[in-house]
Amino acid sequence: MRVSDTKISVAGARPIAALAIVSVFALGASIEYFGLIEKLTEQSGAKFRIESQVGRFAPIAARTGGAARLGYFNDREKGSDAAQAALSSAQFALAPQLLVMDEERKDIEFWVGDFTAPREFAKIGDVRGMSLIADLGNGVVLYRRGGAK
Amino acid sequence: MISLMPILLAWLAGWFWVSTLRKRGGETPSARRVLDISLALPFGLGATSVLFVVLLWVGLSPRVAAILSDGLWLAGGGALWWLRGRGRGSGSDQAAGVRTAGFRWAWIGWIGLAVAAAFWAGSMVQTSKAVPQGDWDAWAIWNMRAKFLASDGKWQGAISPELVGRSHPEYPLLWSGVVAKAWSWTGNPGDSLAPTVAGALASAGLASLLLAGLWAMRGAASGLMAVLVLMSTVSFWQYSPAQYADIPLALFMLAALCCAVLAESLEWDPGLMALSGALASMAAWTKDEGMVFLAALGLVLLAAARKRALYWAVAALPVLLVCAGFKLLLAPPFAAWSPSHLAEYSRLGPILRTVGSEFLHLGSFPAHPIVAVAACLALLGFRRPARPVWPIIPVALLGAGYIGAFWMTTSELTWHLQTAAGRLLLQITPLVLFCLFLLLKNPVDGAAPAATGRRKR
Repeated sequence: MRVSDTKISVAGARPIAALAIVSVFALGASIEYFGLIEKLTEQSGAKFRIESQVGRFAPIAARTGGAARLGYFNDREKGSDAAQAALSSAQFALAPQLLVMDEERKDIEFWVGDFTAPREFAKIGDVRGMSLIADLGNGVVLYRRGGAK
Repeated sequence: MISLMPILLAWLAGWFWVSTLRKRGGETPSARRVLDISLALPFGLGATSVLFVVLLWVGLSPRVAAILSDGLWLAGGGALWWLRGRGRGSGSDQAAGVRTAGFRWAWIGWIGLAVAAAFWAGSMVQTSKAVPQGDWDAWAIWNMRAKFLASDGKWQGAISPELVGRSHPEYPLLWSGVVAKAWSWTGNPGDSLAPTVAGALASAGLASLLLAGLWAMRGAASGLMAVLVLMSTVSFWQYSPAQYADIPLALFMLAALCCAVLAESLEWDPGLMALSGALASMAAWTKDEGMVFLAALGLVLLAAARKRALYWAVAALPVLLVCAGFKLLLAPPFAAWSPSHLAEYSRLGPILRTVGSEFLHLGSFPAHPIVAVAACLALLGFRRPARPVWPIIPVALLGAGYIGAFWMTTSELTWHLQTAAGRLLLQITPLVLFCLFLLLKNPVDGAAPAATGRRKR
C-alpha cells in the first residue's frame, strides 16, 4: 500500500476544511467554557466551602487526642442533601478520624455537633446524654458521652 | 512543592519502563517522544500507586511505603532501560498503518490546539484556586480516603464499613493511592497541591495521549482533529479541575487500547501487549468500570491475538491479584446492582433518554462536538477497508456495561443517572474518538485525485 492511496488517505481541500472546522469549533468552545466552568466551579465552591470546613473542625483532633472514632451529628434536615454534604465535608475535614452517626454506640467517647446557628448547645447534649466539653466556634461543638469521663 | 516530587518521579519511572517495553513502529521522532511521555504518566503513576497500597497492606508506614514504591519502580525501570540498550529499537518501517505522509496544513490544528490548551490551562488555574479541594466526589470519596491512606496506622479507615455517607469504601484505591503517596512524602495529608496537579496532569495526559496515539499511527492531523474534538466537549473542561477518578480511568483505558492497537500493527509485539495488559489492570484498580473494560479488552485480544494474548494476561495478572485480594478480603460488601431489575424494562426508557440528553449536552450548537465529528466524517471518509474494527468491540461492550449498570443499579435511578451519566460519557468519549479517527482516512498533501471518467479530454 502506498500512503497516497486514496483508499486510506485524503488530499486536497477536504482535509484542510476538516482541520479548520474542528480548530474553529475548539476555539469557540474554549472561549465559551473558560468563563462558564469558572462560574460553575465557584458556585460549587461557595456551596460546600470545603476549605472553611477544614478550618472549622481543625481543633478537634488535638482536643480528642486523635481518637480513632468520633461521634457526629448535625442540625440539618435528616436525609437531605444539606445533611449529606455536611457529613461528607466533616468526614473529609476530620479524616483520618472516622465519624460515627449511630448515637446508640456507647463505645464512642467524643461527639462532634455541627450546627448552622447558635443554639442551646448544653441542652442539646443533655438530651443525648452528653456533656458539653467546648464550643469551638462557627457552629462546631465538642461533647463527651455522659459517664465516659 | 515536595508533594509534586513523587508525581514527577513516578512519571520518570514510567518513562523508563515505557521506553524499554515499547517497540517503535516507524513513527516520526516527535510522535514517538510525545507518545512515550504520554504513556509514561499513567504507567508510572499507576504502578507506583499499586505498589504503595500493597506496601501499606503488608504493614509499612505511609512514608516508607511511598519512598520505597517510587524508589523501587524508578530503580527497576532505570536498570531495565540501561540493560536493554536505553530503549527498544525501531520496528520495521513497513509495519502496518504507522507510516504516514506529511500534511503541511497541520499547522492549522497546532494553532487551534495551542489556543485551546492556553484557555484550558487558564481555566484550570482559576477553578483550582476557587475550589482547591475539587468537587464533591473528590473530597467525599477519593481525597478523603487518601487522607486515611497517608496517615500512619490508619490506612484501613479508607476501606472501613463504618465510613458514613456516600464514601464508597468498596471502591478501588488507585487514584486515592496516587494522592496519598504524594501526601506521605510531605507528611501533610489534605494539602491541595498534590491532587490538583495530579488531576491536571491526568487531564493533559489524556489529551496528549489521544493526540500522540493517532499521530503515531495516522499522522499529526488525525491526532489533532481528535484532540480538538475532545477539547470541544464541555465535560472535559468540567471534570478536569474536579479531581475525580473518571479522567484518570479514561487515561488508563485509552492507554491500554492504544498500546494494543500499536501491538497489532507490529505483529502483536510482546512488549506493547504487556504494557496494554498492565494499563488495563490499572484501569480496573481505578474504578469498577475499568474491570468491565479489562474483561472486554482481554476477550477481544484473546480472539484476535491468540497466543500473543498471553503476554497481555501475564502483565495484567499482578494488579488483578491486588484487585481480587481487595474485593475478596478487604472491601466491605456493597450491593451496587440487583439483576432482578433487568425484568423492569420501563427503566430502559429514562436511561436512554438521559444518556441521549448528556450526549446532546456535550457542547453548544452549532459548534458542537457532534457537528465537528460529522464534518470530519463527511470530509475525510472512512478508510477502505475500514480497519482495525476490533478496537470498537471493547468500547462498545463498555458502553453496554454502563447501560447494564444503570439498569441494575440499587440506587435511586434518577439520582444515579443525574450524578453519573455525564461522567461515564466522559470516560468513553476519548476511546470513541480514538477508534473513529483510526478508521477515517488520514490527511496527506497533494491535489485531490480527479474522479475517473470525468476528466476533460
